[in-house]
Formats: sequence, structure tokens, C-alpha cells
Amino acid sequence: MNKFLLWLIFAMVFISGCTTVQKKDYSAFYAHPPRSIVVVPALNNTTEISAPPVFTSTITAPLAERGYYVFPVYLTDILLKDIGLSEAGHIHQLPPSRFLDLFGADAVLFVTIEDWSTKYILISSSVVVDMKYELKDTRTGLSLWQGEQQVVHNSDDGGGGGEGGLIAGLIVMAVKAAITAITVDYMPLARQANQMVFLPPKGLPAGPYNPEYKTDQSKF
Amino acid sequence: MNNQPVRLVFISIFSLSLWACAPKSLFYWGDYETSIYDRWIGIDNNLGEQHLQQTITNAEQSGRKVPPGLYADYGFMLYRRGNLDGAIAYFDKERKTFPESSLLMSKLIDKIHEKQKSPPAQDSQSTSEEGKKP
Repeated sequence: MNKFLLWLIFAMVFISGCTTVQKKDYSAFYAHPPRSIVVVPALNNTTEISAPPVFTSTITAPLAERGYYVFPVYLTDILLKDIGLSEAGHIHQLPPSRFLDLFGADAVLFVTIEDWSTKYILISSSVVVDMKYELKDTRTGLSLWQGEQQVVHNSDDGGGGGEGGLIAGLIVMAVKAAITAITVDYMPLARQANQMVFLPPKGLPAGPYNPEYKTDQSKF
Repeated sequence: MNNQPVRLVFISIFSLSLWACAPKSLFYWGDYETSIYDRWIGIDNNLGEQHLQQTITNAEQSGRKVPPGLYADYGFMLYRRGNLDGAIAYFDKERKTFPESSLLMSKLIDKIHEKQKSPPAQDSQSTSEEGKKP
């Protein structure tokens, strides 16, 4: 009986361990809630040189729609270059307080692009983007929030059935593969990743321009 | 038969509530994304600038909110074209719309004022340099 109880407890702990999504710690975030965020040039850990501009073009809307003032990303890049800061690797090493002095930003978002690739398996291909995000307070240097988002798109869905379907499919694949090779296809994936990563329950609490500002604590 | 107007009211209330529930974006984004990409890559700077201009115009005309950063971007575009007064006006518009940008916008405006005050010889030199560009 005792043994059974022990097993039961063990099982319950095990199950609860599986189901509970490890809750993020938002204490630092709520202690220093930012109004404005500057997104600095992304660190690119991939060989795809076109990744940072595609990523950066799609970050503003999702972040601003969460309710934050987002400094214009293109202008940010130019202004940093203007003072000799053109290397993302170097920029990511700077103390966050620099971005308070330079921009007056409450927080700085550092993004690292971890994967940006197309993998070909026979006639299908899969496109992957993967990014790591870290938001730091510019006054204390504290890490306010961290996230990672991967989006995978497989090209094998769809395709016509019946005779000739395979050939048509092959041609479509070839065309698709050719298009991906010239960077076009990554944009929707980058957009999707940036939209997903800031949403509850793991994303950023609503900022001052969002109607849910200060009322969405229960979602996280 | 008598139900007809009641039903209509219900339907309209229902559709109104649906409309209210639909996720509405806080800002009007238009072609801003394309505009950033085009200007960043530099393949088509003019098209990028057109998209930026169009997005602001559409937002203002439809009464939707212009997103953060667009007035600043537009101001910078004017600055590059040599329209310094226009640039100041748009940087000012950005900081009035979004006070979070005050420090940066004021810095940029101060820089332009300095440039305007600087001796005209330097100004003409810089414009002639601009003209030499292919």
C-alpha cells in the first residue's frame, strides 16, 4: 500500500513535470518594463549573408504591435555605422548602457541568427530559420527576456495528383528550389518567427501602446 | 414575419461583435516591410522610398496610426536629398508622435542645425560632391 502510494506520488510528479511548461521568470522584466526598444544589427551565425536584412525588415511590425516604441531599424544601422559600429559581433559586446546614451532606448534587443538554410531531400526541400533573442535593460544591463524561435517550412505539401502530377511536382520543386536559392522564400518564415516569438505565454508582455498594457500578467 | 427586424438586429449585433473581436493591428503598416528591405539591400532605393512615402500617406488618409519610426525614416530620406528643413519637420513629427524618440530626434535635429549654421563654403563643397556621384 505504502509502495503504491509512493509510486502514485512519483507518477504524479513525473506527469506534472511533463505538462507544466517551464514558466519564464518575468521578475526582471516587470521590475524594469521598457517603453522603447532598439533592435541592433543581428549577429549572423550562418553562411547566408542575405539573412540579416531579411530578418531586420520583418522585426519592426511584430515588436511594435506588442505595444513598444521600436526605433527605425534601417536608421539605427546607419547611425551605428556612422560612429564606426558596423560589426554586429562588436555591437553585441557593447554594454547595454551605450544604447541609452546613443538612442535613449529603455531596452536593446540582441538577435542571433542560428539557422537560415534550405535542405534538399530527394524531391522535397525544407526551409529553416532559427533565431535567438535577448532583451536587455539599458539602465541596469539586466537581461529582461530571452526567446528562441524556429520556423520550418516543408515544400512537399500540396502538388497535383493524378498522372503527370509527379512531373509537374518535380518542375514546381525545381522552380521553388531555384527561387529559394535567391533568398526570396525566407521572408515569410522570418516574418512568422518574429510574429510568434513575442506572443504569450513566452513572449513579451504588452507594452504601453497595446490596449492590454499592464493587464495581461495572467497570460504569462 | 414579425421576427424579421429582430433577426436583423441580432445579425448586425453578432457581426459587429465579430468585427470587434477580430485582431486589429495597432498601426497601419502598408508596404513598410518592403520599404526597409529595398532601402537596406540598396537594389532599389527609389522604390523603397516610394513605399515609405505611400505607407505614411495611406495611414494618414485612412485615419490609422502611423507606426513608430516611419516619420524618422522619412525625415532621414529628406535629409539625404538635401531637404534639411523637411528633415527637421519630420524628426519633430516623430518625437511629437512618440515621445520615446525625443532624445534621438533632438540629437539629429541639433546636428542639422549645426550643419545649417556652418560656413556656406563647406555646404557648397558637400553639394558639389553630391553632384559628382554617378
